[in-house]
Amino acid sequence: MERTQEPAAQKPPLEEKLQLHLGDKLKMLFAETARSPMPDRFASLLDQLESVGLKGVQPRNGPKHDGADDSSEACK
Amino acid sequence: MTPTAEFKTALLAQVAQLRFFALSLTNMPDRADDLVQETLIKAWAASNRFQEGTSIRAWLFTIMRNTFYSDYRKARREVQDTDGEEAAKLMSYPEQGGCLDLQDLKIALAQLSEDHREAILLVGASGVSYEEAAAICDCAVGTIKSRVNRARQKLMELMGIDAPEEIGGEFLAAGDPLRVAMAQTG
Repeated sequence: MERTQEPAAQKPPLEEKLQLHLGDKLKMLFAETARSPMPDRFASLLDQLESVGLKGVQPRNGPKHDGADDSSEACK
Repeated sequence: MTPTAEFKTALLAQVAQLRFFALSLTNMPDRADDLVQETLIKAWAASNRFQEGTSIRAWLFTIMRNTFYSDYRKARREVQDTDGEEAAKLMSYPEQGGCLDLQDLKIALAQLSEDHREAILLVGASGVSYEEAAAICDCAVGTIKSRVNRARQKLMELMGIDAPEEIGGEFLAAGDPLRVAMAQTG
């Protein structure tokens, strides 16, 4: 697939202190999600996949089970 | 070939990362968890395509991103019609409670373009390398760097911070001696 290239940013990089501050905030945002309890549905889903396979497990948007379209780019 | 128990464990270990990336893509907690579920099912179905020794996180993020752009984007656009504050409320899972300290950041993130928000959250929050982010987003490393830089600038602009002294006490409260020294000399 053709890769896009954006022009270089016009403004100079932010001061290091501002970048550190923003970086801390962004990591806090991730930590907020990581700290929240994981819903049982994911562990149950993987248990089901392990025990009975893909039978009876339907993605929300349809029966596509092979993952071909969505995983192929990651497996080059 | 049937996926191994190790593969299952590896998937489970990535759920927190997947939920965060899903939330950043969808901005909708209920849809985000649906997207995580679909990603896990697709990954399970395609387990024989995962190459040992490569990043399972990058592989899963790519599956998730492709699923989102093929199936979920319409719903995402509906959310963008709301204002920044409404969209920011959706950037937390209900069980998170939501940290008030991060509210400004969430509002600002909600106003970024999809490309810029994705880049800054992958690199700045999830800790994905520029190279990994480029592979996940199917673009050049330079493009990711440019998007991250622009996103940083835009976030600071939206949050009304353009000088270190405007950050306030919380910056020093981090207690990092290097940062304290930097702030004092700034």
